[in-house]
Amino acid sequence: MDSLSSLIDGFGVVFTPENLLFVFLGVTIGTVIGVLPGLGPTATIALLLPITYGISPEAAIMMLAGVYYGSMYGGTITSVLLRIPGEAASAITALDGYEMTKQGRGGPALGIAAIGSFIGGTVAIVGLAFVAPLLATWAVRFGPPEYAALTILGLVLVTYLGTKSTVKSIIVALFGLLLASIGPDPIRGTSRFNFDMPELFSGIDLVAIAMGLFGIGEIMYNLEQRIKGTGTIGKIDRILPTKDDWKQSRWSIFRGTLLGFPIGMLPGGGGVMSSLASYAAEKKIAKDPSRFGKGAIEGVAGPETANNASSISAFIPLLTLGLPSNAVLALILGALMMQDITPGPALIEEQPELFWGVIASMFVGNLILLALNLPFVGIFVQLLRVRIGIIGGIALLVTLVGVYTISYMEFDMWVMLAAGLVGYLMRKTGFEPAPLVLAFVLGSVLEVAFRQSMLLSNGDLSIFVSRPISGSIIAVVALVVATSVFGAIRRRRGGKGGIVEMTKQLAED
Amino acid sequence: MTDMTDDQLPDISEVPTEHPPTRGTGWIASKVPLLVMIAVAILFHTQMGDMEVGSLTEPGPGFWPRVLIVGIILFSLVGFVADLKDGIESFELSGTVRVLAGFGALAAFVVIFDNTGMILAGIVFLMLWLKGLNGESWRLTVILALVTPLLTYLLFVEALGVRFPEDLIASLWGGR
Amino acid sequence: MKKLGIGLVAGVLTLSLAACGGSGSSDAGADAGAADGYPEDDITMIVTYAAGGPTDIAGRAVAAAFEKELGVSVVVENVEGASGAVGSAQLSQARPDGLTIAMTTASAVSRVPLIEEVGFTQDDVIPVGTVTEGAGVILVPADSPYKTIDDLVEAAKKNPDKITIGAAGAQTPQAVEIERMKSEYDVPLQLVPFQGDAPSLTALLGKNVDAIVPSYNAAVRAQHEAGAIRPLAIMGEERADYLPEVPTLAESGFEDLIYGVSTFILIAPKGTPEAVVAKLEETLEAAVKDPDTYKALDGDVLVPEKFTGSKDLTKKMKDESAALKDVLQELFG
Repeated sequence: MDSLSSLIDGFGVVFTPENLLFVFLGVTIGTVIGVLPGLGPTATIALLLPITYGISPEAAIMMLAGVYYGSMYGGTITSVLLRIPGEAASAITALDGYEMTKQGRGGPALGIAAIGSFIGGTVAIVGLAFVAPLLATWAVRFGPPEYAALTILGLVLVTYLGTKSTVKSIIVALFGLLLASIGPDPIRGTSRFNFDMPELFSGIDLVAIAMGLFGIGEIMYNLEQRIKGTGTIGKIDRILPTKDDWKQSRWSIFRGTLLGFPIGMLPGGGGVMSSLASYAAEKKIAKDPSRFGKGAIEGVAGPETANNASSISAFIPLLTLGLPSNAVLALILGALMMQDITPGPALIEEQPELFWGVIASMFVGNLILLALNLPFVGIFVQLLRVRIGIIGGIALLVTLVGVYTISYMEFDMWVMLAAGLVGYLMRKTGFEPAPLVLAFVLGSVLEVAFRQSMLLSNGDLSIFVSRPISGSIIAVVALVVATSVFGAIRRRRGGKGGIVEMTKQLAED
Repeated sequence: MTDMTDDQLPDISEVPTEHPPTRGTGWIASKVPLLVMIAVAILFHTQMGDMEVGSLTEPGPGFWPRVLIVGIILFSLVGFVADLKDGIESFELSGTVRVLAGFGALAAFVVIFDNTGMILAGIVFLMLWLKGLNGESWRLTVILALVTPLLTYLLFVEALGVRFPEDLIASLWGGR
Repeated sequence: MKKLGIGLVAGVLTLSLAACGGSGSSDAGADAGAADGYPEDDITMIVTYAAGGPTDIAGRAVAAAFEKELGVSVVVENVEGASGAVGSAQLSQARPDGLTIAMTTASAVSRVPLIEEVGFTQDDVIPVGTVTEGAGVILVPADSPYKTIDDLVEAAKKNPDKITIGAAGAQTPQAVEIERMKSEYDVPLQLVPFQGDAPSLTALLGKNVDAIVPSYNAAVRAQHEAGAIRPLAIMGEERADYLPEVPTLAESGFEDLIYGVSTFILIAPKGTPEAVVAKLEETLEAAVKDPDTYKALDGDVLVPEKFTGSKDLTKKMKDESAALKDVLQELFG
């Protein structure tokens, strides 16, 4: 098997002291910030970006990926023990997880979540190892029309799936696209929107925007809320689930994996969507749905498995097409670009150490996480006592200095401050920064691809539908838009919404 | 706390968030952002200058920005009609002042950084942040405010070979 | 709980310290005082493109060689933006003592100021010498019906604007030559700009464009050696040693199309003393021939056999901008 031998080479890449260290750092940081309510994986990865600049691309991606899937484990802990989701993808777990804690079964809830996460993660890694190369060989034929269609699909899904208020996320996404148009015109090379500032000739730096919106915005929000200590922390006696627990949840884990994997690959998918979908499915399938919300272990096992599987499969579109499916992946794309690596169909062939190394590192990282989360869960719980203000202050200092080093411009620091202020205000007014960052990244791809398509076809719009792949994608876009519009109308008349709305509602009922 | 990756904290009514979303301050918080967005769109429009717009089939540099500007204005207008109170939180004076002070401390950092280097800027910022804004003890404040900038300096300048603006404090021992 | 707080600081910093594990300090002891005259202090080299890119890699290789030659440390600063013009503008403002130099592209100095208001002109800097020269190569897939450059030209004339040719960007020297082919020789090829050589190569292999014009970089070489692509013409003034059988555009009937070459150059601010420029020139010539640097620069392909010094390079760039001024302003003005 070709993939298999490459994967073994990948383990060779991971098992160097330096890379192992970064995997370990990544998953540990991920767990820590997953536990801390106040810093999510996006903010953390944004803060770490400038530091990855000085290390090898392999180590950088291994670490950042570790932060991402590590946070999926860590987020569970606070959800289960405190009823406060450490990060959004684990929010749904709080429903049954905290009930289990109240019944003295908090340990098994964490245990089954860790085991489910491990299984979901591992299966997804195997899937990644086999699906990505296939997709890559296929994607070599992707030209500008396909990229244009894919980015449109991504933007539509992001705005539609993302928030409660579709109008708000459309506005935010459009704003992100507009910000991306500052700088040289990608086709002609002439300057756009430089506001007579030479610093804007090359456009705004993604890192400054992302660190500001997520990192600073989040820290400032916490400053306002004066988050201090937390409530009483539930007690844990035994971690390992009982035989009955396992019997009850093994199929949930199986289904969680099956759901999480494809949802992670969807643009706009990722953790929250997958855990919601899994919870909804479990509740629907259960013989006695009324147990849910009262400590049903399936309600912990399924979603936790699903969010982990999706955090791994989200790497497939990034590594094979260069298209990030959510904000975390957009930042990881930024980390690759800073190293002058543009992911695309050729990545697996041109950077085998990177691709297979990262996959192998995920196996290692998930193993480390299983170890960290089963016996050492108590240590991470202690972290809840560290004051967020202290972490925030230090993070701000390192962040500001870090953004300066990217191009030695004080200007970037001011951009970051401005983005921070905007991020904070968005937070307060119910706008989500994630569509902005994703649109910022996808914006130039879309514009370039669209204009290249027009050059290729000499101004014939039918190029988008006459090519089979882009034609199919456009059909999907049309379907999504149609169901959402249709759903909105039906809802207004008191009926049920589209598929996604139904999932959301099911999970909420 | 939401993690921003995944767009949104699902609405789980049974889970009390630490800070229950206050019912909107109404009009201001829900409509002002839309006005701001329209203003931004108009600002960008004034900067279009002689950018050639072209047409759908022969797009020029100005085509895409024009689409976006129109889109922002359009959807902002839709927002005026639709109910956008989701997720709005009220602004309370003390909290807002703290946040503004926080940004002030950051701005102070950038200005001092530019004039007298990273270390002094870091010390001043952390003092303001830890003592002034987070009410930490003096002991902890002083220790962290001294140690963090020094370690940051060592990391970036000595280890990574980064060049910061002339550093007043580092020059005491001959660094730059 | 301050213990934990401090532990965290330590954690963050260990992480960061670990992050720079291999790179170490480059503060080689600057024993400046001893030397009589230049250089009396550390040198700052502005690289006018992002770290990690080809210009940066070349710049750092040259910087290392300069450290060896001159015995002072050479600190690289990346100041990117506006196709290299932002960093070049910053260089033009620096004190002309030879302690600030910049690695940039010829087009950032000679072409970009003709198109945009970037705060400096070609006359504000002194070109010290050429580091590398990468001539564009017109490439088609191996199974393309176009066997020679004439086939391609013929096809373009028959199907105006239907034969697509990808370039690394609209303002790259190679793309400008394609546009000139259209305006000056009536060969209506359809130029499709990409974001760099790599995406254009992918587009060629995926049959999304008919031809491309990258330089003969490692990825292109690998595809050529694997037999997947065919070179039709080279866009420099003379044939290339590494593709001796490939004709130039000039000898294929396009006499004026000789500027399709990406050139990396070293520059110093206007007013730098002649003796210092001469010293820099001499150091650069030695640097590009230094075996380590030569290898890092992909010398067999990119380092010209004959070194071009300050005077010749200045003249060459002047000639080029004189020849291209009108075209550039018409295309991008």
